[in-house]
Amino acid sequence: MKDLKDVIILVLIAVIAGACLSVVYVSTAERIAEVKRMELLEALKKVMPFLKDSPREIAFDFNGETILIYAVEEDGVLEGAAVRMTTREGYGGDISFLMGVGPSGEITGFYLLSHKETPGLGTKAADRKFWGQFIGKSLDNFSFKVKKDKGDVEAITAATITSRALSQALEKGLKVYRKYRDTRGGS
Amino acid sequence: MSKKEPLNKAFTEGIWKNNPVLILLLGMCPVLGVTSSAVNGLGMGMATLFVLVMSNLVVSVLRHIIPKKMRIPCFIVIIASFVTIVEMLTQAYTPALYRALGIFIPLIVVNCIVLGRSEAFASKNGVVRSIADGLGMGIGFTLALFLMGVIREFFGNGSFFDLSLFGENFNPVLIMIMPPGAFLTLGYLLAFSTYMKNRRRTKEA
Repeated sequence: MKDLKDVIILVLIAVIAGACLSVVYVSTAERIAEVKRMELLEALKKVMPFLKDSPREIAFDFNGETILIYAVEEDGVLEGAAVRMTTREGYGGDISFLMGVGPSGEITGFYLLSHKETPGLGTKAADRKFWGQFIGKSLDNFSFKVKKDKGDVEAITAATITSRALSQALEKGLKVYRKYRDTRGGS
Repeated sequence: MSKKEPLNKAFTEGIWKNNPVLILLLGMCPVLGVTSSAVNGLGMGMATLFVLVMSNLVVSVLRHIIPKKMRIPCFIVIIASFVTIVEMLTQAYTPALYRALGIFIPLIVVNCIVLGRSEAFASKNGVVRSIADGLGMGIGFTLALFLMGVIREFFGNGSFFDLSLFGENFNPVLIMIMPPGAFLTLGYLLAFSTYMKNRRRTKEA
């Protein structure tokens, strides 16, 4: 019987802990969602310097893969867009980022959303020193490969895998944008 | 553990004489894993400090209720709850801090220094003393992590708090911010603290 009492106490502690957690969860969930929305808008502004209002969110189908595009339009004309990319090729797992693309298909900005790269090495991808080299580059005037692979990308020291993954994903993002621009036609 | 130890001893014990990292060698996972820069070390230390104090407090309050045979699962439930609460609160109210610490916070659950203090101290001592112990241990842990971060960032990145010290032409010792650098730094710090301890002992003798 004494064992049963012990079990009940453990269960009680777990129940109380669970109750505390759900109270905190319920009271913070809305704020967390709000903070995330603000952060996304903030990030969108960073990658698209030309952004004025909040952009239109589109789930775009790219060769069977759904990719989020935030399109900026003025009087029905596409002014540019942000593409939300996720690559699986990172050193520590998935890397998600936002990239801004200008009307003629050039990169206008880069913002790292989430990653699991090595602290101090792969995390340098968030520095302008790395992503600054992509600004103004498009599919026509830049080879999205690290120098080690005979491309134009200056890789982060000791984080070649991260650099490679991001370069590939940026190139793909530009292709997504190009396809989106072509398929939407004049509408 | 005599009951009549002065309160300030419970506090100062963790900072130097029983430093969780340099003497007790507890919580090595975050010590080695996240100390690649001063900011990371400091942030992880502070988050752990908070969880340590809170879990010590609750375990101490419940110390007569928690069944002896099942104390470890009870401690884990309490600690994990606090870690999750900390995670949600920082995410909601201090998003900037969450962005910097986000990935480290869940790691605190598996930090054995937190469990270690619940087991060795809070479950046998009063509330005020347990808080003092949590504070002392937390500060000791933070100091050690901060020191590791400063050393590794200095050698491995040539900077202090992301402030470049040597300019563009400096060639950092990259290995220091990679995993082997963590072991090297920890090894030298342990050697140093043992040397200090031995010197103090021979002086006393």
